[in-house]
Amino acid sequence: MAELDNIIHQPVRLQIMSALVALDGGEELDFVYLRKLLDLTDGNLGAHLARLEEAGYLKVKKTFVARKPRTFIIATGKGRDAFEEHIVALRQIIGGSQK
Amino acid sequence: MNVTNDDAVQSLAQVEQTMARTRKAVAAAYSSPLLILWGLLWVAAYTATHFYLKYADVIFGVMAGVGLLGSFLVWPRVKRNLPVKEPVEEKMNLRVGALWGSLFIYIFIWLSIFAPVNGMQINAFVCTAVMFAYVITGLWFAAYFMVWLGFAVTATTLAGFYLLPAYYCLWMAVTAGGLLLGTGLYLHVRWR
Repeated sequence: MAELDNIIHQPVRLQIMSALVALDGGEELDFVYLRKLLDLTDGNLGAHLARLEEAGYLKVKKTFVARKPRTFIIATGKGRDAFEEHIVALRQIIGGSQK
Repeated sequence: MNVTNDDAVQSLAQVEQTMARTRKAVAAAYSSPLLILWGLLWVAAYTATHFYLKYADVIFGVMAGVGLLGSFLVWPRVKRNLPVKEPVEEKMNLRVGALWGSLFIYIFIWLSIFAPVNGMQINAFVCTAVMFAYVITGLWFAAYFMVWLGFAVTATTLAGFYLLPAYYCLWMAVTAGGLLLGTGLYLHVRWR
């Protein structure tokens, strides 16, 4: 029986993980794009990212693209596994209530 | 944690929506600028050819030159504005470049073997061969809008070739060029 993940279940963090897991493994998502997608402020997004990073679910990487600072975020293997288990647990809740 | 059935349904719907939006934004960021560029060039070249048929070779030569140069100039900007960073980007670019380079070599080989007798045959052949590459690229990257775009332009090319030969170039400007341009604009506005 899969278990729900308290950290991921929070709606904003669930969306952050969804966006990251939608990419191929190794692909990193731009901070600015993520902020726009979720309609958040820098501070709010930063706080949720910090929470997920603490749990080891993602990594935040600061780099330069064409001499401009950019921040990219990537889901870790642990984060992908936790997300997948959370999704399975959600599906089990739906499946269970339909029985 | 107490999660109801409704909460679970809502969460899964949000997950699917966010994943789809992210994939679409990445696909649009890669392809919309190039589709807009080539769409504009196709519209211009086919329209010009309809009115100045004897200069067709020059018109399409200029279009190909401007298109390739424009693509090289636009590509660094596309890369700068991507919402993602890929670890194998350069390697992938080389593979995509090799696919298109090989296609053009084979187009010349097939043209020399089959020796089409008129410009419309050559044009329809090159156009459908390029659309075949769209389909392959779309399948390769799971960018299915490119598969559908490839099939749609192929269908309009065949329709123009067999049903409206007298207006082939004008038809291609509106339908094939319009599909490339329209798809590029749609992706830019709706998916990014």
